[in-house]
Amino acid sequence: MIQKVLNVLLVEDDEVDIMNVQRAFKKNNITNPLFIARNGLEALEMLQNGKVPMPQIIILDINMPKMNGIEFLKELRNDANLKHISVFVMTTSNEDSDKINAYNLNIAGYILKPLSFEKFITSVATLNSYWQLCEPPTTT
Amino acid sequence: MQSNTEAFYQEQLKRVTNEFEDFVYIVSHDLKAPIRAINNLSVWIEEDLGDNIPEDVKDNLRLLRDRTERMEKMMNAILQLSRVGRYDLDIKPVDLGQILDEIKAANTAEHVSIHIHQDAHNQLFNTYFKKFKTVIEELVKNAVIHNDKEAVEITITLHYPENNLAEILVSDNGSGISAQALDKVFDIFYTGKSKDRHNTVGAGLAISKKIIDFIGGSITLESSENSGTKFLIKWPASTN
Ligand SMILES: [Mg+2]
Repeated sequence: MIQKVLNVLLVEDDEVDIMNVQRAFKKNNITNPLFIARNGLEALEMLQNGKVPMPQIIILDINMPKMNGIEFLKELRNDANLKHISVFVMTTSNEDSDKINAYNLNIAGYILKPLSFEKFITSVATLNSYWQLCEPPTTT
Repeated sequence: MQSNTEAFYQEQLKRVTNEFEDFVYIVSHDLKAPIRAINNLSVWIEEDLGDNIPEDVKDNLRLLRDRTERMEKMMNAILQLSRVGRYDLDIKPVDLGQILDEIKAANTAEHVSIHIHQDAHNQLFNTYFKKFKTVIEELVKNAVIHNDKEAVEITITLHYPENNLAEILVSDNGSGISAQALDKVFDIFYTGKSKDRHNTVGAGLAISKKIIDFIGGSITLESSENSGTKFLIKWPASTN
């Protein structure tokens, strides 16, 4: 039996925000493998050189050193092998979402980084129910 | 020659103002990340310590989170202040009295009554209608917060004595403002009482004042302790 797993790549430079996602995964019993890149450039290299299993989902921070989220998205959408990946953007404010919409970079959704951890857990739970819809059928 | 110099300084002033607002925006945006981290870490410390946390430690963790929340509110207020000149800039003909009615209808607090008087029924004014709503809402909020009576009474009078300037009088039966505090109420983060006692960071009046200055109106107040407060606004609005 081959079980297809939905891999998730988190692109985020802030250590506490990474812990935030890991904690929220745990609280929601999300067991999908979570890979981590610390900025857009690192993520792009990992994806293009096959250093990580191909993720179906990317959770993307916007403010990052070296290559920020918007620059990364542009590169991703220009790469024939990577452009299909669903991207969820984590933003600090609603205004960031306006910025990304302006570039028209085809986003699956936004997660607002709220002050409270409880609220973040809820939004990750919503994300998870969305992923389960996209989960590829289990092949036997 | 003279007008050239003036144009030059006008241009420079505009540039410096924009730079300042960009700076405020970026700084307060970036400062939110560490505040969020402190808040999250305090939740995780509490979770990881489990069930046997002494009450005083719990209280301190609660205070820590309460202060991060206050700081976030203050950041948001600075952001809002820095955006006055570039958001809600739409102008269209609106019925100001109707906006007042909407604010009254949105008030769900049973101990608060809002009374509206106006002599400009069904008249349309060209104005920054979103900014108008923000200012009146802030004044109403302010009147509710700084009120020690069981029944809060707020009266809003809309008067249109001449072209291009509407007068709005907002008065309340609240605790009033002492003479020493009168010139401080429009300062950002000024609160008459400790921020612990009221759930406010003291930004509403500063934001209102900045909006009114931006659109070229005026706001003045009359108050003394225990006699309520009256705000008089002159709001640019034209009927054509
Ligand atoms: Mg970041």
